[in-house]
Amino acid sequence: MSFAFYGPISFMDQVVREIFSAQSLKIFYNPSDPVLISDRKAVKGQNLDKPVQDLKRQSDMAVAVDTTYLTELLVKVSEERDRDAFACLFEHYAPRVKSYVFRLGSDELMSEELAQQTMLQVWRKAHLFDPAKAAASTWIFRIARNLRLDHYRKERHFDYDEQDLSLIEDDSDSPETEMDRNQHASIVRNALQRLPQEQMEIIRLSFYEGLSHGEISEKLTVPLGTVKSRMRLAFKKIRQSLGDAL
Amino acid sequence: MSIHHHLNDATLMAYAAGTLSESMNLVAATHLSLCPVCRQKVEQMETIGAGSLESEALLPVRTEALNQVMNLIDLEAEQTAPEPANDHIKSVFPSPLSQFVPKDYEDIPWRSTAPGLKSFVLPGIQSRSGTVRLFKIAPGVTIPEHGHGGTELTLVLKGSFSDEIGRFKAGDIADLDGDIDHQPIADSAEECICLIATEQPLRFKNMVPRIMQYFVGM
Repeated sequence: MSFAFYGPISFMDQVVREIFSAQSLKIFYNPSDPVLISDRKAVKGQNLDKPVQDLKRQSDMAVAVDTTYLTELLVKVSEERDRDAFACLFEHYAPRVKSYVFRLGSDELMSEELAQQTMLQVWRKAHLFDPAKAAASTWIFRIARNLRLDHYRKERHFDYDEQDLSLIEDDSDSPETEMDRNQHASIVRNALQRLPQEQMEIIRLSFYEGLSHGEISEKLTVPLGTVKSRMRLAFKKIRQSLGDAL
Repeated sequence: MSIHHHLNDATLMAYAAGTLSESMNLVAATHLSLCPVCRQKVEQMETIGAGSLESEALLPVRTEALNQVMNLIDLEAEQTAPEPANDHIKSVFPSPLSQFVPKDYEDIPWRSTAPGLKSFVLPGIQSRSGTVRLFKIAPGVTIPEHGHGGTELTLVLKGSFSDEIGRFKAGDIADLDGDIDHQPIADSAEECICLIATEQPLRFKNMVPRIMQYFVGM
């Protein structure tokens, strides 16, 4: 059985996309977080830093708990083939994967089809999920990304195999490997919110709009080298915040 | 064997976001299969992508979407899954690469490209830009100095080479931008085998290799 129907991108799709991309600009700002970047100066002036930080911490915790819960659901699917847990995951992730694929340029039908395919893969591959290595959201993102590239862009994405040639010893004994992956996810999200605008922008274009570094360079009319160095700087800051959190 | 030359963080970010071209992606994935340091970074970067899934702007799915998937799952549960065709000879190549090449170096249909240099273009890479090829460089042979139209990834699978940047051994990857010229030389007793992805054809500095390039299609 297939739910495939790849029609041309309709007018409605375009309309939805425009509304949608306006919303997606807010993506890096947690909506439950009262501090949007533009508000920051005002907040500082009023010396409200502390309560604001407390609120922020609460919302971080809510995200972390949520992420932990979703990861537990995926473990249930993995270990017990639990259909109810799968249905919960579907409810949470199918619309999100659909939005992700849509935002990157597919039409609505295709986006929904790929969301279904992604969830089907989640079921099929659940036995490979290792909660010590990834949060559920990261694992599902990987599946969605790869499926989208295979189906839509016709450029495959190749997965690496960690079992390959284990002759090479792991000299990356950074303490970060010990961190709970769910906690890890919310730290990365917070670090993103603190990035300078120009770095956040290229991350948004790359991860949220699916532009290659070359395309970003053209779009922003900055040299390719600048795009790459902003990428490197952004990641450096994200890594630092993971280090700080220990 | 430990790895000293890694993928650039910017390249890893593109891999994580899913925006690398297919040819670069294959070589990056092959290095990742060998390199725990880069793997750990990619896992951190993919968390950024996961953040995009957790965004608040949502498109609902049709109410029957879940049932359709559930039906497929039931259907699969009824059928006994066919055993995957398992040929028992294990490839010597890392898994991302193994689907594109024979199982061993000996079985690769090398084509002589220049004295001391053989190459094999990987079939089945559908990239709109760039190709992936294996190079076999005899000990002591130098590849003429060249730059690249775009980024070039060179992963050493066997042997070693040196260039202006350093010495590259098995597992090492040279992640070069277009503006770097280099002149690699196979510098150990065994031949050097590398996997190379280029976004655009190499640009040789001198006329002779350029003419050679015309004939050998390098």
